[in-house]
Formats: sequence, C-alpha cells, structure tokens
Amino acid sequence: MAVEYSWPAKEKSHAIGTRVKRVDGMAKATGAAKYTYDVNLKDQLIAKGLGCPHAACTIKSIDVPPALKISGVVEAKPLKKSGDKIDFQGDLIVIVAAET
Amino acid sequence: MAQRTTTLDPHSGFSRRDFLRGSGPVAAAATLHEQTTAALAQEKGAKVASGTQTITLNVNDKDQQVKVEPRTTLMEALRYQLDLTGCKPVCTDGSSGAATVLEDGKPIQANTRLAMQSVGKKLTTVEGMANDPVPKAFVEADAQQCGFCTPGFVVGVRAFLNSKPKATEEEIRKGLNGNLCRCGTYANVIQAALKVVKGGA
Repeated sequence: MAVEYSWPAKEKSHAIGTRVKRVDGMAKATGAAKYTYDVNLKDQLIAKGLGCPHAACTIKSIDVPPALKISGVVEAKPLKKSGDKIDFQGDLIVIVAAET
Repeated sequence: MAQRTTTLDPHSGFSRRDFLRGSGPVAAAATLHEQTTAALAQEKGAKVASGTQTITLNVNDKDQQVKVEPRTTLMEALRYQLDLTGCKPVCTDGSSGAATVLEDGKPIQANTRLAMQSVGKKLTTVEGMANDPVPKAFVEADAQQCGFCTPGFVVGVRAFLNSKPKATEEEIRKGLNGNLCRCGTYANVIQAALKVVKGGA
C-alpha cells in the first residue's frame, strides 16, 4: 500500500530552502576546533605500534627490555609471543609508549 | 639549504655499488652524514646545533619560548609546545599543505621546516587570523566538511591573495594546488577565495 506524503509548504518549514551555516564552521576555519589528534594533556604519553615487516612469518623471539632502556620510554608491550604466526605485513607486534 | 648529492668518478674503478656493498649501508650513511655536516659547517654563516635548546619564536605577534632539539620541526613546536593545533600533521613531506603557516608573510610547510630555522622570523598561524576575512568567507561559502584541511587552505588563500589580491578563479585554482582535501571541498574553497577578492580584503 503506497503511503501518501507531501512536503510541508515552504513557508511552514524552517529548514527547506534555507541556507544553513555549519555550527562549528568558524572554529574549524580558525584552527580552534580540537580533533582527537590535537589533544595535548599534561604528561601525555605518545604510543606507537611496531608492525611486522614481513607478510608471512613466525615469531622466534621478542626482546623488549632494550627498548625500555631508551630514555623517555615508559612502556613497551609485546602483543605477540614467540611461536605466533604472522599473517600479514603490518600486523602489530609491539606497542611502545613514551614521553614526548 | 643547498641540495647535495655524492657522485663517484665512474673511471676510478670504484663504483657506487661496490662502495655500498663493501661498506654496508650503515657505514655508507655515516660517511655521507659526516661529509654533509663538514660541508655545511664550511658554508658561510652555517652553525651546527646539538642537544636541547631553548629558542624564541615570534608567533602571531608574540615572542614565545620553546625547547627544541635540532630535529624538532616547526610543526611539532607549534602543536605540542604552544598548543597551536590549527597546523595539522597530514603528510610528512609537505604534499598535503595542511601544515601551511606564514613565515614573514610567505607560505611554508611547518612539517618540513625545522623549528630552529624559523628563529628571528615572523610567523603567523591560522590562529592568528581570527580577524581576517578569509575564515569568515570559508564559513559563508561552506568551504569545508570535516575541516581537517581547512586551516591549511585558509592560510594558503591568505598567502596567495597577499601576492595576488585581484586573482581570478583560474589563478586561485592554480595558486591553491598545494593543498589537498579528501572531502572534496575545492569548489567551495575557490568560491570562498573569490568572496575575499570581491570583498576587497
């Protein structure tokens, strides 16, 4: 069964046929808008993942302690363990968090 | 800065390939690095900087101190120390134009410039353009969607119109070809720039 519908008369509509300005337009155009990437908190750490450089391989071992010895590095966590199979290049192996 | 390439004499019996094979990439890189550093130091007026230093940057008419290493880019100093996040990290080679700022009125890519290079220069970021007609024209022409590339475009339009205040549509298209927008707002960006031209800004 077809539903009958007609748009409201133009003078009764507050949206149809009017130009609407983007509410955050000015904030974005002047750089004031904060994206997730723009958040700078006090003592914020930056995390980076290390992706596997090979497309298909097996992890023999992961040695994390040397990374922790680099100044500024707070945490280095292996996401795989020895014996794990890697199925694609870029599969995350280790994630490291460090001071900026 | 001058571009430098190392060429080896093909008749010396010592090819580049043999050289690299013999010394390994690490040794080769170290040699090149030493050569470059030495060559640059010899250049007139060149200084070799190392370690963390406090420098003064003049940003948006204010002298501000930042702590930088020689490798710190201008974008990193602006974003992470002065919290001027209008300058966006999109590419690492200046191809997106999202990190455009003005240095002495000329557009530069803050992500391919070292912070130390901008000492003594007058920098203007998009945050310093709040009273400029360009952002207003962007809002009126709806020249944005997600807005991530917009600050780069705003600075780009300002810089281009500074050099060509009566630019035509075609000239604006060419002048802004260093900025990329994935949302595809180009048509309205051009309209925004034309609004500024017509407004006599």
